[in-house]
Amino acid sequence: MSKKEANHRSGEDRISLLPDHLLCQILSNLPTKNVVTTSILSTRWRNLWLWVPLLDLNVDDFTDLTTFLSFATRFLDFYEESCLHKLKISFKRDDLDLCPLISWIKDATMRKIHHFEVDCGLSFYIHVVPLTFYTCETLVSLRLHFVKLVQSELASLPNLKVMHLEKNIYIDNETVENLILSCPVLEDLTVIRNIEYDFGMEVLRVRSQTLNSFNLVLDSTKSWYSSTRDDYMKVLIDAPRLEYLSLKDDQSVSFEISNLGSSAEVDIDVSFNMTSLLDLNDSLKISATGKLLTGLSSVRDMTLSRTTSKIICHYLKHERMPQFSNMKRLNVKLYVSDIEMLPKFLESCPNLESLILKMRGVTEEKEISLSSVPKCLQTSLEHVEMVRSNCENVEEMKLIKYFLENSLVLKKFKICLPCRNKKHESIIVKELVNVRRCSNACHVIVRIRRRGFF
Amino acid sequence: MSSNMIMLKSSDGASFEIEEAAARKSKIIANMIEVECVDEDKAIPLQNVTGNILALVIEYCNKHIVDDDDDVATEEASEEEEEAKKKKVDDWEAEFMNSMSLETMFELLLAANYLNIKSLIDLVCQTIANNIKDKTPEEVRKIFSIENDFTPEEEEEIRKENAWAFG
Repeated sequence: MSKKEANHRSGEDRISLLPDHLLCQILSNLPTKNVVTTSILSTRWRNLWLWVPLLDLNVDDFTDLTTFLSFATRFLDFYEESCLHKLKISFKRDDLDLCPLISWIKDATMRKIHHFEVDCGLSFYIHVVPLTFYTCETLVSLRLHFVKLVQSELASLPNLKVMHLEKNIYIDNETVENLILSCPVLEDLTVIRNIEYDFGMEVLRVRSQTLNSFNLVLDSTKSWYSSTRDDYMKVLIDAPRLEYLSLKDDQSVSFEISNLGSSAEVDIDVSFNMTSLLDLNDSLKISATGKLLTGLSSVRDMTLSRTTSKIICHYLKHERMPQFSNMKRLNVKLYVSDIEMLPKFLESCPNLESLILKMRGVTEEKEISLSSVPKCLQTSLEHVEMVRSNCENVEEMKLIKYFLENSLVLKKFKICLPCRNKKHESIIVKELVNVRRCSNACHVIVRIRRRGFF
Repeated sequence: MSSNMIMLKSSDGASFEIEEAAARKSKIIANMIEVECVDEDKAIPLQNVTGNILALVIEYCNKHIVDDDDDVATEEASEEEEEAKKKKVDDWEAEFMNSMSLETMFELLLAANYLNIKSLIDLVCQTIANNIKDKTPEEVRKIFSIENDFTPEEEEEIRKENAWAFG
């Protein structure tokens, strides 16, 4: 025991006794600047930093670009034979001559690198020298943030699986399209667009035979730029192996999605550059909504934002929905005023098993009626979860009764509601107990959140 | 829950019972189970891990196997619930790492390395790295009791070599 205690005595340098590979793994969690300073700790640490296969450099940490280039080149040369796991370059300072830096980055991408990131934080990057890509055989993941990109016809990224393009400037429509085409095994793509600078690309075309997950963000509400531009931005997606698609885009006026698979999960928050409720009646927006719905009609799992569900409910007043015959799970944020459209919506989902409704808004003057009973309520809908906006809403209660009274195969009905006091709670519970349930096997779960209005 | 239990025996002779599913977090043990080196009545001897450290490893494995099960069971969990669950695991991990001394952390890292439990290696390495991040070399030496065995001249030379990093 005494020997063991001696080993545990604090004040002993235990960290230096760890094997090299574990020390390198510890260091690989740190930016390179921090890693380099460990070379001075003791002789044990003198050269360890060189074995960390990761370069995470902020150019602004160097007094000038020459110092940066000399260090970075030396490091890359050291890794000439083996493979550099990750290279991340960030810079913010705008007094730099970027030409040598860009050409160094270009050179670096031709080395053996697995993960590559460029993060440019310049506020006015209109004048930034554009970045081009050629061939990088080993690259598996790529993240570009705030850089200017031009297309290169020779690009070839044969092993790239993950690509994150965040707030970059694109010169034309083809840059991104060709970049995607130059990645024959791409699986995961994220495009976050910046409305303030991103004028060059009118059509975002995503064509890939291997793409598994695609995430698009073009959100004008987070920018100072107010939308006065014409309706010209479009999104075209043709990716038959897509399993996950997320669209958060309030600017693009049309989404053409083809060949979406039958097991896909989609998360949709789009509004076709509508600026007011009046736009809901615009025939172009209505036909764009129809086109989007047709493109999505094969999915298995769909989540809709409040705005998108509002647009779809309005669309249903004029047009018919395509059939979503694969859809098993639907998650909708719904305005109380649109409750009446819900049966019509569900008629297009004959095999729906699970429905999550998040309600918002207040009762309208007119009284709602829920008349038709869609097929899924009779044959497939087993789970309903409803998050209520407040506990006094009469229309929401009507909807609860509608589900309980008409669903033949319902197994679980979960109701979450915010309640201000105990009195309300007991009224609600009493009311629920008295509803006649159509399905004997149905469990009703009520979860009360004790807080005021949101 | 009716799942297979297996026995693990630490270097100092302590025995622990653990669910097979939790033990499989260790690639080494998973391999042993795969090739049927595991005798049902006999404990698996782990020569490089003491009882107090093995208890921590088992605590970690149990925690993570329960969470994996939960994921399957509640497929229709709401976003809020999923976020809350993720936060709960993160909080648990932070608390778990917070509760131990640096010395224990090193032993836990060596044990995770020996047993080949990747997520635990990552967690411990990240926590140790947090103790180095943004600290001066003097502070790091003090935290880890590292003795500076350079002569002042040698130290000066290393600083000069990468002066940018020491600025």
